[in-house]
Amino acid sequence: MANGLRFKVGDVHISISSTIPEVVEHFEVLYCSYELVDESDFIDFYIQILAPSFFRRFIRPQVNFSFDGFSPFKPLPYSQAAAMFEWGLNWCITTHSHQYLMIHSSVVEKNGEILILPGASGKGKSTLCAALVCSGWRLYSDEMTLISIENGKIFAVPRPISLKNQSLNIIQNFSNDIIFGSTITNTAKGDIAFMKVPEQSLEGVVDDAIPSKIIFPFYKGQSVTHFQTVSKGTAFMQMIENSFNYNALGKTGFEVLSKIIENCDCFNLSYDSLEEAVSGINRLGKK
Amino acid sequence: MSKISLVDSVIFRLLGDECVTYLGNSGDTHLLDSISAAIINEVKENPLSKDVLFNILSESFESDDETEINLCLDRYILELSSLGILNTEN
Repeated sequence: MANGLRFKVGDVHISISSTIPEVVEHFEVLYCSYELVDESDFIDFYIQILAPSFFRRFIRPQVNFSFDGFSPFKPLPYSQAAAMFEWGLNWCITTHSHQYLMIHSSVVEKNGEILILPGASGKGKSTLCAALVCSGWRLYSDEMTLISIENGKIFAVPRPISLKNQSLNIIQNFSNDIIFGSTITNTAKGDIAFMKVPEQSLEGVVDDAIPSKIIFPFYKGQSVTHFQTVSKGTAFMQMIENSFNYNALGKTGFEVLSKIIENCDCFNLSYDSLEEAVSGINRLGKK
Repeated sequence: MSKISLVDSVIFRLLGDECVTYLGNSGDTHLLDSISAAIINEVKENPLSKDVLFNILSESFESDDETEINLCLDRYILELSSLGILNTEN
């Protein structure tokens, strides 16, 4: 990977260069099924995960993220190199992809219907997303909904699902078929690991899938699984709160989001049991 | 008599009985209740006097008291004007 591994995630073309063993392993385990892109193809993001300088290798070693030769972040501890790639790529996409209205949310698809799960970190959206993916839903994205401002289509960017702390055990107990990368400890978010995307999610994404439901998940220990209908107006405002670039898009953002909301049923979901939450979502049925 | 109209740069969508508005001048988005939605929907194409609005919307209010409805409608118009959604031209 020293000279750049060129691959695609959905329509996003990425080149990653790194000699750090943890990053190489991260790719061998979690990105081995992704399609490579030709030398002649356009690359959206040139990323390097750089090893520390010679002296820094011996004293609290750190790692740097470089995008097009620019380092937008402070270094992180060396052991967090793989996480730095994933977080840095999130930043690259969300700061450079204004051809989309971007919502901080997980997105999954089944039988041509798209389910959007917006929510800030810690609400339980990634855990629920992982459980849905283990239950036959196709992963579009764990982190962001990309809605084309041109035609309202939702684009898939299926990357490894980031799970942290107790969610790791919960998902490991939920399904035996899951492959995780190495656990990265003591990050700003706690202990995290990335879950491999099932190959089914990388093959033949349904081109004309339409969003039909927006569910705002909230993990609440020892609670009864409960769906509550949310008015479309309230859902609209909550989607804005979770958007990366609604304000930057102005009137266009309003128009795009209006069309999505008009077509979706909207719910709050509080849950403790993943099995009940997944089963409830499946029972919501086709629109 | 003053007429009430929608500010040119405002766009809106009715979502159920609520309404979301986008203000082109400020970039603000507002979620508005059913009465506001009804007012905006009525003045979206042609400016209307408050009396005409009153006649159209009086059934939307729960009260039968005309004075109370008038006061309520005044408050709505004032609030929507202060948000930059409605013009109250002379």
